[in-house]
Amino acid sequence: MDRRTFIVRHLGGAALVAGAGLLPRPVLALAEPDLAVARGSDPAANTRAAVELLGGMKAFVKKGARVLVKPNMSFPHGPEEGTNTHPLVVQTLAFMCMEAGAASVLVLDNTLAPPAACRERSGIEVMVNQALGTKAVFTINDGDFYRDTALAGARVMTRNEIATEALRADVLIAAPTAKAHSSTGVSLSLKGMMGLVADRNVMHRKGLDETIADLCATLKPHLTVVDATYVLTTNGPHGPGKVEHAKTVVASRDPVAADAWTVQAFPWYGRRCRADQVSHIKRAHERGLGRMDVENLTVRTVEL
Amino acid sequence: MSLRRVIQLASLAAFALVTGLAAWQAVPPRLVAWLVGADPVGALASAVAGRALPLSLALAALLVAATAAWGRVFCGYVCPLGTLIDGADACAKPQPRRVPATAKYALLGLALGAGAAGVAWVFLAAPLPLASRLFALVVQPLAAAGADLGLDALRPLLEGEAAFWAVRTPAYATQGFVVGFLALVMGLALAAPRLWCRALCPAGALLALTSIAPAWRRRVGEDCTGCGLCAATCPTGAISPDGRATDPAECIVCRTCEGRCPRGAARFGWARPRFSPARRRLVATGAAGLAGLAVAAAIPVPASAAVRPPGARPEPDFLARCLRCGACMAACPTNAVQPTWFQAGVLGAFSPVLEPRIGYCDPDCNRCGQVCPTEAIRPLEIEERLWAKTGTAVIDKPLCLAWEDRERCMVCDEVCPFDAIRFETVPGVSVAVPLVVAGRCTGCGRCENACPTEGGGAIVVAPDGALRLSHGSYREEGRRRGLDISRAAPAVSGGEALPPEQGAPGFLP
Repeated sequence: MDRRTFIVRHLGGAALVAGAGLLPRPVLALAEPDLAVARGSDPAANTRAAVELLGGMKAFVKKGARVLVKPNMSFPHGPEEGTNTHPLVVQTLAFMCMEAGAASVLVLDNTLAPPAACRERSGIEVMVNQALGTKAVFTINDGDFYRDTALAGARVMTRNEIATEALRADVLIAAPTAKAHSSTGVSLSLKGMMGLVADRNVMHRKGLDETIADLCATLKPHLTVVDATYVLTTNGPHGPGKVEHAKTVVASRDPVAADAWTVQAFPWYGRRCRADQVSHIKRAHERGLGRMDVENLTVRTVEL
Repeated sequence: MSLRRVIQLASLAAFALVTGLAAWQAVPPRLVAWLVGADPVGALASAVAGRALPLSLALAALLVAATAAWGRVFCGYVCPLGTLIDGADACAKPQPRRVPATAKYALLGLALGAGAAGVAWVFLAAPLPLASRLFALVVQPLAAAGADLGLDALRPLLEGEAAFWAVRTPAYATQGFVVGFLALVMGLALAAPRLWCRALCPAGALLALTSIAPAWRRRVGEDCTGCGLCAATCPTGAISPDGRATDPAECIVCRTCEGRCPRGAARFGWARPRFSPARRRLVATGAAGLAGLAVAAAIPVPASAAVRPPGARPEPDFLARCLRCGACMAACPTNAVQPTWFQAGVLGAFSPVLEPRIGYCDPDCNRCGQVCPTEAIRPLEIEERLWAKTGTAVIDKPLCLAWEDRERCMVCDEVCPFDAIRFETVPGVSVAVPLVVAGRCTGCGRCENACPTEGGGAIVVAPDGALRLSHGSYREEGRRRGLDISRAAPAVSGGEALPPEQGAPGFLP
């Protein structure tokens, strides 16, 4: 897809959403939901619709802002395996940031598998770079890209090396894929912040659940968009596992809420689970980093 | 600058660039193999020891043949170590003097004799491996570290793509030895010019033996007054005190004497080949050869105690061929291939081992085999290379976060490209614990590399089960041994595979 087709397609998607009368702006301004859920066959349109329900990208990205998007790009897999964020979701987010007037958009991850293969086979590199007309997707596996940082309010991990770009960014967008994780239950926006630290080993040694909460007290996404297009419901984070084609994108200002909603929306290993069964989500909630009591939150859903 | 200096510097630069840039994947790997394999004595001793003649040693044969015609031009024009020694000589400015030249024949004999017993001692003194170790294991990483420092200083100013430039900064064990040994070689410049080449270098000895009767050599005309100026300035002491006789075995064809002769009586040119028996030299070589054979034959080659790079031949064959040139170490993109001190026994000193804690062995990569001049590590097709199992991962339970600390850690499973780690619930342990499926494990060390324990990993690749073949197909032999190596995904396990009373993995009850 070249840039022109991409733009035309996006304008079409936006018109579709607006034209369907789903986004009467005055109403939005009055009652912006805590969670926006969009379902439909096009991940790009879902992404756009979910963000529009929260007031549009302009509500998050001011003119001249420096934006960092953190997807899952850690495996050399295509989106249908459920291990990486769908490239259309990342592409749409990056493009919407530019539309909103961002000075720069970066898409970064510290990959588990060899970085070049991850960038290529995830499809994220080519899709985002094409849409933006510039190179925006990078892997930050080298220690040079991190700065030793004190983690305010941390309980067990008081320091770590944090990605310099995450510290410099005006806006941080968490864009994880929805997937199971056999040691932390799920890997969503909170767990995904581990892609912006250099030393993940210390987190394993000190216990993932508590150190993820420590990390997320510092790395607070302004916008969280969980890509549940393909949900890896078993054998995560690497797969292969059972993939549910859920055709869903969830957005929220609150990463804990977005994660909690996702936990309760899909069957993990064929079982319905509560958000408080995921230890790191529970801890983040208890520390006031967000709310996991989804039943008390306003959720707006749109079917496309 | 004389033509000889130009050729010398060009040869040195080419050698340094090829062996150093191999680390940046900037040169064709076979070029490295051919260039390092051009060492006359290294090639010969390795061929003798390995009972094989890989094509990458062809240049060495060519150089020996050239010697028969032109004398030791390799030493005077080509050898990068010789050029470095010339550099040291230019700094120290030692007086030309005669030195005993027999020791090098003894070293050559030792190397060839040990080679006949299947032991490659030649690596200790062969000039091209000595030089390649310097460029590949010392100069190259220093250059990379310098570039990285520079880039880091600039980084705050870089925007866009440039902000994500990174320089790979590899490091290698035994660097101190490489530098120290070469410092000794260079230090000989304090005593006499080209002392290493004349007194000790086994390649010099081999070429001295083959250049006893070069067709193109120094001749002295009628005009010679016997003043001896040429003999006094000859850097290798190859000229008799009266200036009339030349020892072609010691002459490196530098042609300094031509320029020094006030009457132009000394000239290099064609002459009828002449045979000088040089009996003493042959006797020295032969006697040392027998000694080398006897000693080396008495030393048992240790069983493989080290994890070798993929495609490394069976240990005795591997050690017989390996020149310790460091090409495989420089070529390894993850810095996993390291020189070892004595992990593989005394005979295996400085040979390459895999250190997964430093880097993992990429299943799609065979660069170490591609650059190896003696095929001690075999160059393999990728499909074959996948089956070149280097060892088997073993879990050290008392160190393991899951087995010992009851942490829900599964990093080894997460990174394994071959699905060779299985997580199971075992009685008495509250969390799922990792187990290695030996038949699926290739010994790549992704798990050891990523294991989050401090210090050494709790999962470590051991050499057990390594597939090391001198010939034939790894895939066929692997299948015959019942290995099940593939990156193909195993059957997808859904929730239905778990007993209903058990919760989803990683969730609290």
